Amino acid sequence: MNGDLTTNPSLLLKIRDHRDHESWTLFVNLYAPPIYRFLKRQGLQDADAADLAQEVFTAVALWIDRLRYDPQRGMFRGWLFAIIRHKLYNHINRLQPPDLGSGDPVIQQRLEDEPEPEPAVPEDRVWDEEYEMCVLHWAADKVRTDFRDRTWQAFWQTSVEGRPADDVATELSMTTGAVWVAKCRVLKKLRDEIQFVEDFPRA
Amino acid sequence: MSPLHDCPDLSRWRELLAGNTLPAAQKVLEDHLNSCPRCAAVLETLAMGPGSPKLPLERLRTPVAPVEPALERVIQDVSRKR
Repeated sequence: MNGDLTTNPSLLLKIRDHRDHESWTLFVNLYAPPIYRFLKRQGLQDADAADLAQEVFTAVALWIDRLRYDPQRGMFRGWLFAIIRHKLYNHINRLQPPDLGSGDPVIQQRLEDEPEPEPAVPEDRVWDEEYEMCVLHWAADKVRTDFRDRTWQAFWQTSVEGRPADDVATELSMTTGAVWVAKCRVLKKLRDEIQFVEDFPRA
Repeated sequence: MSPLHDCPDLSRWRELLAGNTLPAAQKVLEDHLNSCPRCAAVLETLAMGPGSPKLPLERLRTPVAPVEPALERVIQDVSRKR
């Protein structure tokens, strides 16, 4: 465990220290999957997504010293997404051939007759999905072992499965109040862990 | 629903979340929660952090995809670079 998270500097502050390999490894293990999977969902091949993900980490290592909390600019995930998008657009621009049409009016008409493609899921929503999946699962895996099975089940059944506390209480032979306490203790721990990895450096 | 004047104050809920409440006192708070949805909501808000966005916990229902070989290489290469 990370000890007392209220006094523990955030991961984003820790990775500024180039000697802190442990924090950097955690950062990479946590954020490489959503970055890579986001890039794949934008249509990149495995190798291109991998290369671009590496470029994103190089940029993060370069710019993390300048990252400051700024409520106008939103959360860390937005800062990271701006870097990813910048790298992605550079990549697409490098691949795109110059815009030279054939000038053939028949081909032009055919192109115009093509049906509009289905609107894709907006890329910021794709990023949110991938980011939230990875961070939530990481935090859940981390805190799971801190609780007894019945406490975890009370949390899972109410918060994840969305079942009423009364029903869960009956099933787990607990009082409704005990279910609420169990659920909220796990929630707090999850929130603390997530805060640790995505809080902006304030120093 | 309990009358509002019977509701424990915020500090007691905070202590409960921090694990600083003795078992007997915890039992009293749990009994209160049995019949006070208002305090249950307060406790949940404190657990989440007041003003914090709701966590999309339903995403935990979907298992994480296994790490692909190309992604594994990214993790190994980038981890070594520091």
